[in-house]
Amino acid sequence: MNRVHVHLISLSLLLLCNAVKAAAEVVVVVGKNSPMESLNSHEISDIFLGNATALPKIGKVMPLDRSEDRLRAAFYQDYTGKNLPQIKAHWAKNIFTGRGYPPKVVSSIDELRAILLKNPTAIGYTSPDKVDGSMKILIMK
Amino acid sequence: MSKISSAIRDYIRRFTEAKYFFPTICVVLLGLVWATTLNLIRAEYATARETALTLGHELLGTYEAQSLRSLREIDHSLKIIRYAYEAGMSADTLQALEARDLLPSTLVFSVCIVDQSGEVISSTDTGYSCTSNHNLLHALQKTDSLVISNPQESTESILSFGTQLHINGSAAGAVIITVEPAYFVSGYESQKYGTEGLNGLLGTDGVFRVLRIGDNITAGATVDINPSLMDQEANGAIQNYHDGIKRYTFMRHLFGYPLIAMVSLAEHEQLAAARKNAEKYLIRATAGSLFLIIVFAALFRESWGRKQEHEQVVQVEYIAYHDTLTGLPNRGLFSKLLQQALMLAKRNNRSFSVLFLDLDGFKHINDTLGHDAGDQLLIEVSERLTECLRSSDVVARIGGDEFVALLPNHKGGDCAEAVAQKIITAIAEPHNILGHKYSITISVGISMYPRDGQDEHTLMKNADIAMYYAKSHGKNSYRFYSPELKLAS
Repeated sequence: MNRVHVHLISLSLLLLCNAVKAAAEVVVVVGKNSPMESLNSHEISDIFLGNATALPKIGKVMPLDRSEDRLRAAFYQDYTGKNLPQIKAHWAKNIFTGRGYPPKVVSSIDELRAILLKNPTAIGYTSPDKVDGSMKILIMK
Repeated sequence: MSKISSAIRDYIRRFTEAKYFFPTICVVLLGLVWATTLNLIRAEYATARETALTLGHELLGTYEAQSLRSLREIDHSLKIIRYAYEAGMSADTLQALEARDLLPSTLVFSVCIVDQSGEVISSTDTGYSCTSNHNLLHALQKTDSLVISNPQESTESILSFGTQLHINGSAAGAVIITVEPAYFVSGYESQKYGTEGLNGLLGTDGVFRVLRIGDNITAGATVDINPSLMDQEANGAIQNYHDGIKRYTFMRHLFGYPLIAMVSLAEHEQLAAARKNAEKYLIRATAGSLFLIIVFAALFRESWGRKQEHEQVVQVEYIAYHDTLTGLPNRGLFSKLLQQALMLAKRNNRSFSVLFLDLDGFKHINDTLGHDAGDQLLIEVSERLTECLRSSDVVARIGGDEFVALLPNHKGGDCAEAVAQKIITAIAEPHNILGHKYSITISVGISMYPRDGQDEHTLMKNADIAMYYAKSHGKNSYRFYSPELKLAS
């Protein structure tokens, strides 16, 4: 193996690690009774940015956000490509121009769990270690 | 009347000469091209201006509605919080209200309740500091209605809206909602406003609560506020701003708040498309003008060239057919004219006369006084001869001192006789040559068509015979041809 090969392999391992790491950091969840099984990241982005309020065959969806922390930043970066100040500016504009309202903020994992169970069209996100039997992880298409 | 019409005809003839015609038409066409172009440009700008005014009005209307809605929501939230707090919910008030979605979005707004000294009793999580603005607290204590912070009186770049709280009738602090000033100009779209458009909320105290130009957002800029602006609207008047850019300005006081909504569109941006079109039109007009000028210059040159050629030809012909010294027709031309007269006379059954004219004693004068004097004399003789004849008559110089005349329109011999006598008398008058007076006489021989000949040669010969007879029988006289003369000489 020459040096170029070594570099290429290291690079791809690194990228893979990052991808795995990102995937591992935040997961998108719905209630176990939810009819939703999988979504692509574009659909998730639209739902959480307010560009789409409903999904075909599912109907009106209810996105659930969390208060500002590292997990939130990771979620938005991965699925919408925007950082938190950009998300805030996006919502400032939508609120001011009357085009939409930000997702409801849940303040604890218990609250998230309760709403997901009660509302089959609610979607939230959390870290993988917080996932339990009342939720199911959405498969990324 | 005829004087006027002939003057007009004259004018038209002069006008159609190449010298005047082509340049004039060219100038007229150029005038048309430029008049149309300038008019188009003027219309372009007028339309662009109108479009800008309409757009500005529309943007202001939208901005006014959006701002008022936000202000009323904040106002309303403050009232709800105040009610809940004063009704006795104390420290949990905000969380309880938030749980019921009664607070504005905490993503963008922060809410806090402070006591009389500005200490925070309760706040939503986003953690803007509500306490450092002493001026705001001071203002809040003075009134029961909504208070809006002044960016010039605070070190922080946030906008605060507050209202006083009362417990049991006494002042108990205030509830304050804060937001970043940029929130109020987040509806700015450069597609509509341009990159130098202006959007802002101006306080009635002359201080901008927020001002956005392009992507540059500030708070606290001041303007010399005209008190009358409070009630009036600005409807697109051009304002010069501190950044030197002229803008169409639209303003309206927001009902119920000490704020004026403002939208301004940069003039040069709104007129940019019109300016591009104007440039296009100018280029086209210039190109068209150049084209016209080139074409007309070419036409002019062509026409002028042909005129020159024509004049040259005429001149050459003139030299070929006229005597250089006297300007009279020469023998060649006279021959042609005689042929013409013969043809006409034959066709119309008319008669005409040919007169041979020979100066008496010319050689003597030429020899004694010199050729210059001789030439002078010949010129004067030619002039007098011309004077004696009508414009339809011809007199030509065919030799040194020999002339011949053709009288085509005279009827019969009487007229020829009268003319001959007139000539003799006129020539006999003393001539003034080089300062001296000299006398000279002329001998005239007359032949007539058809009596004395029916072709050029015969008429000429017979007139010559008659003249010779006159010369050898006393001079200074005229003789008609008759066959006897021929026999006698």
